[in-house]
Amino acid sequence: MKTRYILLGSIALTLSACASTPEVEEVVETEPVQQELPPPVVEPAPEPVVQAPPVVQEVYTGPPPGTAEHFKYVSGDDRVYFGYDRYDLSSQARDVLRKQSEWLNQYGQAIVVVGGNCDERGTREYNLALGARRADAVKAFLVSQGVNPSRITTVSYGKERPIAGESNEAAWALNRNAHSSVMVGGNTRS
Amino acid sequence: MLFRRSISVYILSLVIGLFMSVSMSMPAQAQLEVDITRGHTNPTPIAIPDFLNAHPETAQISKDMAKVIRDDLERSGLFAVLDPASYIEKQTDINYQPKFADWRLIKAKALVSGRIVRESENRLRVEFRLWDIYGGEQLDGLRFATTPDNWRRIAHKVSDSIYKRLTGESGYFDSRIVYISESGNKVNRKKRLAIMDQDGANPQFLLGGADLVLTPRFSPSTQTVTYLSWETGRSQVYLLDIETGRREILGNFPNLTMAPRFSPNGTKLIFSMSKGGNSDIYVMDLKSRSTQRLTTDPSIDTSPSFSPDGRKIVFNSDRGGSPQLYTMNANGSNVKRLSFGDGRYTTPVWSPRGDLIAFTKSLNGQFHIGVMGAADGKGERILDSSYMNEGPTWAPNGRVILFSREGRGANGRSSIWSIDLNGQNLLKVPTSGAASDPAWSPLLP
Amino acid sequence: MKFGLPISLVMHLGFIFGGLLIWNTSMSPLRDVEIIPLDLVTVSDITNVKPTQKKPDPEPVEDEPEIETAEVPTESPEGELLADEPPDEEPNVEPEPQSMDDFLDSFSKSVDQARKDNPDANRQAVLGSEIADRTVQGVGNQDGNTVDPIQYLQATMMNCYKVDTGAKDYQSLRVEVRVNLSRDGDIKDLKVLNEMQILASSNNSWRAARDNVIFALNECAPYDKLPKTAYNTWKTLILNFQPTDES
Repeated sequence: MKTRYILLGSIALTLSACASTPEVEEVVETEPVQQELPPPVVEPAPEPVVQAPPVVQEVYTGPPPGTAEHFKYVSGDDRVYFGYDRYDLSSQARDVLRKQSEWLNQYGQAIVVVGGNCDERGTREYNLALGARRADAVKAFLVSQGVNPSRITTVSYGKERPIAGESNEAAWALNRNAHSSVMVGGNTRS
Repeated sequence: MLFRRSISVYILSLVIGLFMSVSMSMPAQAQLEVDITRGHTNPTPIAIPDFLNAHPETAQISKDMAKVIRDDLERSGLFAVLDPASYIEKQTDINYQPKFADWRLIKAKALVSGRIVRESENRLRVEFRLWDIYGGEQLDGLRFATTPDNWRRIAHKVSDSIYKRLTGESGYFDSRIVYISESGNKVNRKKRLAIMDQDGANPQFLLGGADLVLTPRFSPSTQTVTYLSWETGRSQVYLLDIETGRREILGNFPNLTMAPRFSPNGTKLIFSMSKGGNSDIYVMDLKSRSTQRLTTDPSIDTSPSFSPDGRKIVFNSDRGGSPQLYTMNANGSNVKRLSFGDGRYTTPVWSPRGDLIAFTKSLNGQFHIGVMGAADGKGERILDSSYMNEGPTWAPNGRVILFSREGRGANGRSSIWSIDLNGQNLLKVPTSGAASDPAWSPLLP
Repeated sequence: MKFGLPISLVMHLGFIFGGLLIWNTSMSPLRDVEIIPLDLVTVSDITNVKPTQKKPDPEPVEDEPEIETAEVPTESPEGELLADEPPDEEPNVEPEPQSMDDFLDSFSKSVDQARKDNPDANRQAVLGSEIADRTVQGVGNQDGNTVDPIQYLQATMMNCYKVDTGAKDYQSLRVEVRVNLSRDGDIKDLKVLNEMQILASSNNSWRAARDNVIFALNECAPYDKLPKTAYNTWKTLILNFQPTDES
């Protein structure tokens, strides 16, 4: 982590480093629109990176901050995907979950239900157990990122909630996922 | 084996017999011993005329009952019901012996003659006699008293009696199936708990259908069904009394519960519960509501099923790296791996006869319904294969298996199929609309 | 066959009267069974109650299993039979399968028919059918001296002996029978030698296997292709029925 920030600091200014610290960019972008939003609590970057954005400022067109749509928009996806009969998180999944956890850490009142899903190439009861594993893998990662476990509920749908109906590799890959669905008790966070 | 030995015995006795009878003329001593090791497996030809009746109000029922019995026996695969048009003798009174020669002519081995007596507006008496045509004797004779609207059940009871008398094993015709009625394509599928007679008649919904429900199973009393519902948003095990409609969440655990099944005597419920993503098997005493954890392995342990004597449990676990079947004692001790074949084994169900485990196995892109020996996993037989077969359930007598099959693609529909444990007689169970997750009840009381 | 007709007449009459004598006893009474109606409640969306922790009360089932023995009508069967069967003069009380003429007829038909039927009777295959074809053809030649009794009996029984391969441990269900045959190949008497063992077993399928054997022996009788000159060799048969594995 440290090296990353050192590196970041050294190249800082113009690039705003979307890959490594995307949350900073997002939040700053939204500020002009929603003034009442608090500054990011996580990772108080020592460098004056926050100064840069006004240069690249554009009009924010995403979903209203703090909403479920916003969560998905900010995180890149509200789902992470798994291999066949796997429940370990790929690096891509970790990236998405980092963004999810940052959003959750920012909107501390939101709760999240993580639903584990499987493709149709397994039997119902085994898939329910496998979906539970996937959901819990996501929960464990979010908790490791500082999200209070009491805010996270896990459920498993097994193969009962496919997002793609076809019977082919592409559809199965989409259906092997864990879906984080956030519930926000209104947008008015103090 | 005995018969191996007796091959030589009979050759010997033949030689001796010939010698004695031909050379020494001592016929009284002669005995020819023959081993008969081959027969046929053709369905037994049976004649079932319409039931006799004396009252116009029972005329339809007397025809319908015979039809239900014919269908039951025919679908079992063990009987070939002879075409009623071919019957020579028209009996007018079941209390007299049939003309066996007439029935032999059409090659009937057995004859069912029955009648309906209307005792009052609300009471029927149904009688039948089962005849052995070649032996020329009555094999069974029963009388049932009931209300007219119960005629279907009596027809099934008659079928069960015939089946039992002729196969030595109890039948399964007077039984029901709980299942999940399905509608919509795969991404928008609605599921609803339903019940029907074993032959697909009298389908009824048991729940409204607002919530996802799965994997219903009967209690041995046939009055309670346990199933999985997402009514509260996550999977929980429910009990439903199908007569009163009363239902309850079992235990209301904070964790995900799934894969419920009753113990053979109905006093316990076995299920799996996921804590921290780890599914383990638990058993709950339904009276005291005390719960005991049976497995502690960090792998997936699910789909438990008791042996019919209640002493062992077969379950599904991926502790060896892929899902396989394991057995253990009812207290969780003595875990042994049962399945060693290629492929991934899931959904084990212990046969009510005790000798076999039915399972789903996935291999080479197909899902197979099969059975293997309960003691050692040997003698695996695949009964049916398709793109998606799963969830076997046993007929009360352990000779027939139902399972669900789902088609490929976004519009792939589910359907329920039956097959006998030799892999013969594959039949679609008639359901109104798509259906999955069948569970066979025990014989009704 | 000079005496064929008188013998047949005497035997028919004997069987008819014998039948009348045993008629009442052979008509076993019906056993009573009471069905308890089971009602279902269909729960609609509206009546769906929230999950309750209440335990369901045990349902008071009204059971009154009346087991009364039913009497069989004791009217004279003769009158009834005539009344019941106007178009058919032939008495229909023929309690035992001993009308030889019938048997000969039905046997020769059934052998022929069985051969025709077997290939297409098939929801399920006839076990070991090649052997059946071969030997049955030999039998069909009717050359009394060349029929090997063992092959003949094995081939014949294959058409009549039903093996229930769905029964538990069906290959172990051995049934040993002693059959005494008349010179014409009729069954004079039949005894299941391991009856006690079968009755003592907890496997009900064994009893059904025994019944199948008796069915088969009656159905295939008479065994009139057995060489008459060697009657003494086959007048008493010990038949051991035990199916081998399907192969």
